[in-house]
Amino acid sequence: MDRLDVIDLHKEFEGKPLLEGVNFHVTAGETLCLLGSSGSGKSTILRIIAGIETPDAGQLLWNGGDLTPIPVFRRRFGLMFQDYALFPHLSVKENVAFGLRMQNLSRTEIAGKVRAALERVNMSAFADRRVTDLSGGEQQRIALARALAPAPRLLMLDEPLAALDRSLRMELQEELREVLSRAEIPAIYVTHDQEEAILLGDRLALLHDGRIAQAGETEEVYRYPANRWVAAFLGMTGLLEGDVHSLAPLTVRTDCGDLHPQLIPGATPPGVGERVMLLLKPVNLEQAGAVNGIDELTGEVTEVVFLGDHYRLKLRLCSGTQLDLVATHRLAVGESLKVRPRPGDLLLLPDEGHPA
Amino acid sequence: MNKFIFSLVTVLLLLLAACSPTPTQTPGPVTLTIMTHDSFAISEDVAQAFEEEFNVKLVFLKSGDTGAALNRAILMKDAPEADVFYGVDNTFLSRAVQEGIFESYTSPVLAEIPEEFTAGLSGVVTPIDYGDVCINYDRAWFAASGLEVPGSLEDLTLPAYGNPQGEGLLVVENPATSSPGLAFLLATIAEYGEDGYLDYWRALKTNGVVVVNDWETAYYTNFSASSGKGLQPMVVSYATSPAAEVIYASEPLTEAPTASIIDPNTCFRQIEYAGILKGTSNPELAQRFIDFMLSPRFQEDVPLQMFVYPVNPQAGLPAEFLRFAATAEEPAVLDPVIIAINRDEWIREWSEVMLK
Amino acid sequence: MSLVRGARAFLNRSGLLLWALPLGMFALFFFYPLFTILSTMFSRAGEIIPSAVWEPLLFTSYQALLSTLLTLLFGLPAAWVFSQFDFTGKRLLRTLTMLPFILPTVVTAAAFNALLGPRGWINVLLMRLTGDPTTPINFLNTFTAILVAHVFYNIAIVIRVVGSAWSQLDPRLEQSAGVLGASPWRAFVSVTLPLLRRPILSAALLVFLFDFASFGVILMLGGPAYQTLEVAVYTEALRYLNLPMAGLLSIIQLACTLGITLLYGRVNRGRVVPLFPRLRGEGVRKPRTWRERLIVSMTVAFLFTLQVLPLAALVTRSVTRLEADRGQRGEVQTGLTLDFYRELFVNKSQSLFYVLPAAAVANSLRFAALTTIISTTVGTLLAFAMVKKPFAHRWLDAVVMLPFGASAVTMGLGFIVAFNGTPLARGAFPWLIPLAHSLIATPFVLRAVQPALAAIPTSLTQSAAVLGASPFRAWWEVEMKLISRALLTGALFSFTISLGEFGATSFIARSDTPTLPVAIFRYLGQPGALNYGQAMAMATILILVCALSLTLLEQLSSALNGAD
Repeated sequence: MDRLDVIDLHKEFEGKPLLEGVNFHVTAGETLCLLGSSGSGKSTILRIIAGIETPDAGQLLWNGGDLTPIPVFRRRFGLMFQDYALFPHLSVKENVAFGLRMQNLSRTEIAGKVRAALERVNMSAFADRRVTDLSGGEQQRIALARALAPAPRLLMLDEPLAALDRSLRMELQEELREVLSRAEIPAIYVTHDQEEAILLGDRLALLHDGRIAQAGETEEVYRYPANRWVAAFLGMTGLLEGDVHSLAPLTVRTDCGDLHPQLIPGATPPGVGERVMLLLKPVNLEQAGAVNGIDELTGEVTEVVFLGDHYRLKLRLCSGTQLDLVATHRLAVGESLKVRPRPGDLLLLPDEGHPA
Repeated sequence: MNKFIFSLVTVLLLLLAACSPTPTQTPGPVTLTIMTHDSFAISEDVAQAFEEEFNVKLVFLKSGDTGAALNRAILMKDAPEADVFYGVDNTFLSRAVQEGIFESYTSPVLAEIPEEFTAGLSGVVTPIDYGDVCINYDRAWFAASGLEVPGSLEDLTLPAYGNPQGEGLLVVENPATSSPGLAFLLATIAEYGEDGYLDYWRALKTNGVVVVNDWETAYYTNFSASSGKGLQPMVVSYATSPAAEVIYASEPLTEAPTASIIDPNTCFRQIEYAGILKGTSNPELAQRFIDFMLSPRFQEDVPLQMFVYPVNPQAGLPAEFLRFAATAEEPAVLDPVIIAINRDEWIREWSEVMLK
Repeated sequence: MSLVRGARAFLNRSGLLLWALPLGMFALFFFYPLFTILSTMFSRAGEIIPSAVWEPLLFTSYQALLSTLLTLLFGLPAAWVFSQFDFTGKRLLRTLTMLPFILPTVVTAAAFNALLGPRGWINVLLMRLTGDPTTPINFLNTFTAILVAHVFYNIAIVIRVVGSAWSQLDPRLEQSAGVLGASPWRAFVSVTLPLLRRPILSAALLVFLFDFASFGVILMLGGPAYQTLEVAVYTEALRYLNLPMAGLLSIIQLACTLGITLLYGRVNRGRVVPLFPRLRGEGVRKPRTWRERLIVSMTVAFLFTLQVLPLAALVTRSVTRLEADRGQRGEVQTGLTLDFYRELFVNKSQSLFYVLPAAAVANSLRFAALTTIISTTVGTLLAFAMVKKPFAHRWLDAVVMLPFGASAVTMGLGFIVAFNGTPLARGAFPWLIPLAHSLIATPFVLRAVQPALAAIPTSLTQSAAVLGASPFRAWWEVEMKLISRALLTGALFSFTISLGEFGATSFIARSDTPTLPVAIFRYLGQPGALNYGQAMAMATILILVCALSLTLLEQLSSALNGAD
């Protein structure tokens, strides 16, 4: 099974460190979403894997073998550029055929594969058009077909949907998911959009400050964010400080009362008296536990946003901490509310708040 | 797409192949190189005769006009490119001799040459041919207008030949850029002296003399009897031009359309010399070639090739020369040494008067 | 091992391999002969006459400036018409406007003489119409003639350089200015003109440098009253044999060229407008309103009068007998004849130097093909070097333009002094001519290719590499394809420059391989109607050869870019 290992990648950009020890891996059949804010070096990682740029230090292993001596054009990886980089002097068909021609395949073989690739992205009717005539979404599809046609051993997509409008993006996200899940190769999908990442990624890797802040199964990462930055990037902003009061059961004394957070599996338990940080994930009012005095949070509704099938609320808690709520019925601003988060919605962040 | 660039390159390469260079130097025993000006010409069989007699290959290096060719010889005098230089005339001679580019040689044939051509040469260079620079006139024009053909330089200042408002009847060449132009200036200096020639030219200017830069323009644009059908019925050209008009007429002529004014002191005699270049590796052969150039075989070839007269009186003249061309009985004479000293000054003074 | 890798890395980084060939060529075939001849010149006897510097310098600058402005004045509307409109005969006219570029001045002078001379077609026609025996138009040997000839020669540069940029311009930019409330004129001045600043300046520089170094036009059409630096170098060197003076004038001319190019570099700084290759034919349409139709037909009429009529007059002249009956001046008997062409195939005087027209054509084509190969190769390398591995960019840009300012006389003598006795000069095949022509042609290739190359996004070559294209294939299949049109323009100019070059050629051509212009000059050097007619016939052959080559290359160009 094909596998790419990225080990301790370092890269400077204009004299400043950009990547400071990036580690992750991706295996066949899975899509790894590389998530990070713009300028974090996501694209640079792709370019290093593709071979367009060389790392200052670190290793790239393909099935355990070193990739460094292999020049870009012999890696047989596919990369879809953010601006698509379609060849303006070639037609749609010729663009898709480019990679196949580089493999010196026969004419008929090329024609067959081009047809198949265009069918896969529903663009067969455009085969003879000039790429300069195409709309953004059409160009995106052709770029994808061009990247897939030569059957790359690894597929990389660099923010492929960033330039498109929302409805088109939603539509193409679905198509991409379908294509990616059918392609039985490792894929790396770079984006800054967490929704897109959750939708498309089998696994997530979050890049922050030149390092991978967290990597793992999408669900795992979502369930157990490794630190405050990851949590915030994934849209979880409710934080609450407190001191560990007892260990069994784990009790943390906060300004809003005693709470019983979950510990992330595998994390070392804190010591009694330690100052820790609790993450309050958004609470779905319908699924929240019955209020019975335990882990109960009281607050005032400060904001109500109607989102079609549900409302999003903000609750100001005792210490001023904001808690996100999801509700199916309308609540009024200023209303006072008691909620009890489910056990999984109340986490002790492992990397935060150690000796205060 | 590919094939079009290919075909572009192919077309260029084919073009190259089609016009592939034919080896010009057949490996002969010895080569004798003659440096000369663009007007030099020789019959194939005459050149061949010399080559066969001495088992030598003749190579001609042509390099622009007399000034350019002479410059080339002077600049290269330390490492001469040729063995013989042909074509320096009496307006340039002293300069060439001063530069010391020639090896002394007195040909035995020189004894047959009239003193007029050999005087004052002290055996450095050998006269080969001469030509009179004279005013040519349009015979038909003069016949039709009833005007008498001028008989002296002085006549040219008469109002009958002029046009104080615009262009007169005579076109001359700029002595700064043209050989016949310089020759005609020298004729006027011979006639009026260093003190008087500028006044004469002022009078010509008042009379509307037309000045152009080169013989081609004077003859083919301004002269009325040439193919250009210009406005001036008189032009400074050569005494042999009427013969050339007959020989190179577009349909057979029994009469020359032009004639030369050859009255005393109206023409300047240009004598062309040949010399052996210092540093030649073939002094023997170079001497033989100089002898050959004085022999009747070469001398009789000269008139129809270059439209000049042979210096060897034993050389027979072609019929067209006898019928249509004439030499001046009393050409203007100036000492080559005086010419060499004053030439540049005269030209600059003339330019001040005529062109400002 | 590491040494090898280190060396390779150094070469890669510095782009030394890209720079090596072009810089080598300029060093060996431009600077070496130039310095050799200049040092030789100053070591010779002669006097420096300061007063003889100012006058030609002032006149040279004045006429070049005026000629350039006029060329732009007439060239820009023509460039606009060519880039925006489709009309009958467009391609033919575009090819025809390139033709003057090839013509040696001797031929141009003859062409203008045939059209506007004292007995040119126009004067003859006017005299017949008015019955006035004096010639109404006095054109030759005037300042006007110089200006007209310069526009005649160089308008093609403006049409090509500015026209191609104009056709690449996104029409939506001007449209959006219109939407924002700008009148068409203001939209043009505030949007289009700034976007076209670079190509316009680029064309203006080329035109100016050409006019600045003008020689034949001044000598043959301007007459003795006018003297440029180039003419002054010629007279000082070859007539007065005053080599130090010629050297000084050459240096002044070179310094001016360098200064002007550097100045241009300063003015032209700033961002390159990215011209993402656009679809061909997009935005080109038939003229619709009566105003557009008027402008298009006026342009066509103007170009026809300026560019085509003189050539047509010359071609007609080559098949016309103009022989006056004896004693009946003025009554010119005209008749059609092919005698002049027939006579080209006869070596009437049995001369050793006679050349068959076909041989002269072959020589010219061979030199032109070689020049094209050398200058496109070197020019493209230079463009890649300047875009990929920039290094002292502005200075090098100026250095490349220097050959424009090097007098043909100085360079001709320089080639002779520097390469005498070397295999280059003596070999069976004269390489010096194409090399000398390439010095002038290379800047054209560079000017055409560099902007096209700079506009290619790097992601294109990178994506080619990711798709499996080796660096060579990525270069060949992506970059070269994208600059092919620009390259072709450069090649067209190289080819034509070489076909028509006469000045330097006459110095270094071997007498057994005369080019067409040299052959034309040979016929013009002797009196006789036949000689004149043959010169016209040879010139017509030159025009035909060039027109055919241009058409062929244009065909290739449109094949390369899909249907027109």
